[in-house]
Amino acid sequence: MKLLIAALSNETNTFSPIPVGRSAFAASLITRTPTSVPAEPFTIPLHIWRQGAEAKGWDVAESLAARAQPAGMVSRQIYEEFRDEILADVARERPDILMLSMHGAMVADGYDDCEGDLMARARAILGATAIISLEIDPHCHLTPQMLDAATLIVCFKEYPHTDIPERAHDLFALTVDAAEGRTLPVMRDFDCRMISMYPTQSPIMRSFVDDMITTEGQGGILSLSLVHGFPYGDTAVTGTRMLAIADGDAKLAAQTAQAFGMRLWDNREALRITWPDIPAALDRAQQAKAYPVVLADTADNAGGGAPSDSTFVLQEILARGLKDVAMAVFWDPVLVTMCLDAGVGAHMRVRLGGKRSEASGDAIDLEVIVRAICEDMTQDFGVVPSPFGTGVWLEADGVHLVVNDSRTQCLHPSLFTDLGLDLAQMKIVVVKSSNHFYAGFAPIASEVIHMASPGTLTADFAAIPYAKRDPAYWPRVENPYA
Amino acid sequence: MKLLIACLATETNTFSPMPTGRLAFEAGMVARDATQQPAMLLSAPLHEWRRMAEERGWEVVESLTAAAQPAGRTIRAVYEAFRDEILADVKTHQPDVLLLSMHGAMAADGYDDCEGDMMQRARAIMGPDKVIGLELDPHNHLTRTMLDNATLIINYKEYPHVDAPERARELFIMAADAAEGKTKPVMRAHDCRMLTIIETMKEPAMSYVQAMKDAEGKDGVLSVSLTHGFPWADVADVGAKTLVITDANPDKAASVAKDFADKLWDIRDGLRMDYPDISGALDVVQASNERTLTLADMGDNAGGGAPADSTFMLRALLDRGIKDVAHGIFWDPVLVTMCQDAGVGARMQVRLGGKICAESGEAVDLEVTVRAIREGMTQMMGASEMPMGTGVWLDADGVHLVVSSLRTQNFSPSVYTDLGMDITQMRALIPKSTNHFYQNFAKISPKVIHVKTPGTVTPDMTIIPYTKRDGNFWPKVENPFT
Repeated sequence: MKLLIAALSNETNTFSPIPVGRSAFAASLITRTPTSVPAEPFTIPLHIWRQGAEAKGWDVAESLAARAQPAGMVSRQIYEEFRDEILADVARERPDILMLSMHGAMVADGYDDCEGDLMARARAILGATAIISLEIDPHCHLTPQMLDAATLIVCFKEYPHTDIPERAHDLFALTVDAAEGRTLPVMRDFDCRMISMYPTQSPIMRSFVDDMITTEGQGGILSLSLVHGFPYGDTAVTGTRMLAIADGDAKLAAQTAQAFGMRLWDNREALRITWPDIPAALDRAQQAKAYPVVLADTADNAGGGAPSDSTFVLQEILARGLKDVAMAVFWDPVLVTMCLDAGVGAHMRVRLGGKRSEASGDAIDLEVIVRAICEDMTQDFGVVPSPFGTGVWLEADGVHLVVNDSRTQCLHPSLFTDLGLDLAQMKIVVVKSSNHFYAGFAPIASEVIHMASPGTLTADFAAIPYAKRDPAYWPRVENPYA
Repeated sequence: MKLLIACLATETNTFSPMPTGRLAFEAGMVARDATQQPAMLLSAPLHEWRRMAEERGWEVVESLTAAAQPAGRTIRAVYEAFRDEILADVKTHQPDVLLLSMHGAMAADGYDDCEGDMMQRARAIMGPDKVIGLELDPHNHLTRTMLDNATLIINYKEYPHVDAPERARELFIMAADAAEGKTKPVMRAHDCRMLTIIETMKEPAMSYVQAMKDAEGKDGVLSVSLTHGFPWADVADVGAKTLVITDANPDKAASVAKDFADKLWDIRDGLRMDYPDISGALDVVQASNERTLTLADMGDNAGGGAPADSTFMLRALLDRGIKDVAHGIFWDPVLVTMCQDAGVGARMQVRLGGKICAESGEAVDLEVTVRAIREGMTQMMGASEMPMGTGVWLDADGVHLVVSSLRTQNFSPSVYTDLGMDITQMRALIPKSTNHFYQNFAKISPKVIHVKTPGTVTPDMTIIPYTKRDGNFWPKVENPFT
């Protein structure tokens, strides 16, 4: 057996003003030797697949791994160049098995479905009998083209995505069984006609995920994935879907997908996002008896393509005169350079935030002290550290602000403690993240409040101005099945 | 003879919020072999001095060249490290002649007079009889410490500073004559009690410069310099001064310095800054039938320590709906990267300007087309090639904007033509510059208007909040001699 592995990943927020081109990929990851460099979330599957394949004595070839931080549309030229590089390796190596780590919501100029496009072309090269396996983020758009071209598709089940390695192991085992003729995977999906966020820490989602896992391997069901969907990509198929893979039984796959999909639909009221706005969330935090209260600025999540420099929450915190507040992460490479020049201990007049788009809000002028600077930082996330760049801790009279030069969401308290900031002394910690922060912050928080903040990633899913996606989805309409 | 040459230069705007640290120097120039690299404004003298010394068979030792774009105070540790590196070379090599290219308005934390500090320490090492020659920008603060410790000080005579190499040659000859015992230079300065912007390519300053040149080489007068002064620095010695060097005749030096100070006083009405505001300047553009007028956005001159991202002029252009104008150079390395990712031809939503400090004004949101991108751009300033990094031409529906990755003022219309713009079709070019733009723009423009724009270096000497010098100077008071 010969295995070829590759990764091409970007979550495209088609409403984000930040374009994704060569330098955006270069700032994150471009490598031809992905298993020879430290693993990150989208390349750890390649490490796992290589280990698994080598243990079985298979030949392993590796191709490109490229990832860019989520932002706006990917440039056509760079997508085609990366895709064609992987396809050239496929054509040359002619593997029996192709395993890909992708995001599932990558949109390039002229390509609403990059994953489907890449797999369809790979299928055309490899022919009908080769195995093509795909591991993707649940915040994806599951398209007919992807389902037609791939043999096996597995999504991460957890949000926060803490289970990427487990799903890579699952997909490898499924792939081995199919390659060795023990199974005949058939995939079917069910359109839930819903668009929302599904943090898996809620009791309903917890049991949903647990039940998916216990159902797998039973009665001919090989794998179950809930495609949460990525609300901020304007494509024809944007939305929540349930995917089932059965062993040789299309009807079973379809029925199981529908059953799990309808279970989600039936629980929609409990799953409805009813996050407080900023003033209401701060009211709650100010009334708290235990600290720190962790507030999520969900709309300015870099991991969803936001600029990570909006000022709406900070404005309100300053207006209320709150102290002992920590907030992360403001993306501002120019300010980081200025702080590096000024040095730790310097008093500075800075203009913070509000620099990328209208969704960033207005810039804020502050007098600050540079309390700490740390280069080459990483954040804990799952089993692999996530790169963070240079971090700077600025204090504006009891309001502690973390600025960095590499646009990324706030994933873990380690970024504060690495800078020397003790969160136990804080009353409020504001994180720019939708939900990935939860895994790291829930253990140190007295309470976690997701806020429906203004910005790039609105929590008002009914209001997203889709042009390509029909409006028949909940919660835009109460009954899209009618 | 043994000559040691070095350069340590920045112009410090003590009101600017941007610190000048190691990275700011590295973005400018830090070299130990500056004469092996292309000459820029402040390193050009070293090229002249090395060439002339080698022609005479002198031994030449080259020390550090470090220059940073004007901004706020230099970090103490950075200044001291550069200073001590040069002084260590002076001590090791014990030159007969030390020639330094400095700015003359460099202030660091704890040092209001970096040049004086450097002179004093070099003199202590070299002893009273060795020659120390200093070439300065006329926008300097001429201090007692500098005069007491240098043998010879010469300023550029022109603003725009196109004559740095010429003045370097004159300084070399004076230094050689002094070192060989042919002359015994004495310096005397006279405080003009004036502070204004002196444009030497226009009358009455043009004739004044000619008079300085005419006085040189006669009656024992070796050199006549005018220190214009650098207004945006809160130091005790800020202000215009005349400086005369004679051969061993202190009384003559003093009387000629007084004569030139009187002469400057006599032409003060011609030097009065009655620049129109934005509204007045744009009225002229709108009433004009001529094309390619030049309007200088004086308040946001990077060369005076401004961020080069203020939006006052842009806002007014948009409010009036004026099209076919070109305005630059906006400093925004993050936006440059975004434009590179988007590529030429892309339509983008951008937030431009207003990003560094309150004096930047408010950011402007624009829908633009990326018309051109060019890496490694430079502009000519006299014979010196000034780097500007990557330039981007953004077209906001007829308002053409140039953005750069390096912070620099707009010295030349070549910035626009190098990006492919047809400037003959523009109603106006609007460089962010106080006066250096003049040399190159006057050649292609039927009318040049200096505009009193708000910003970090607003050309209004009467409102600068000095705490270390008195207010007894023209034009703050009409007669400072009463």
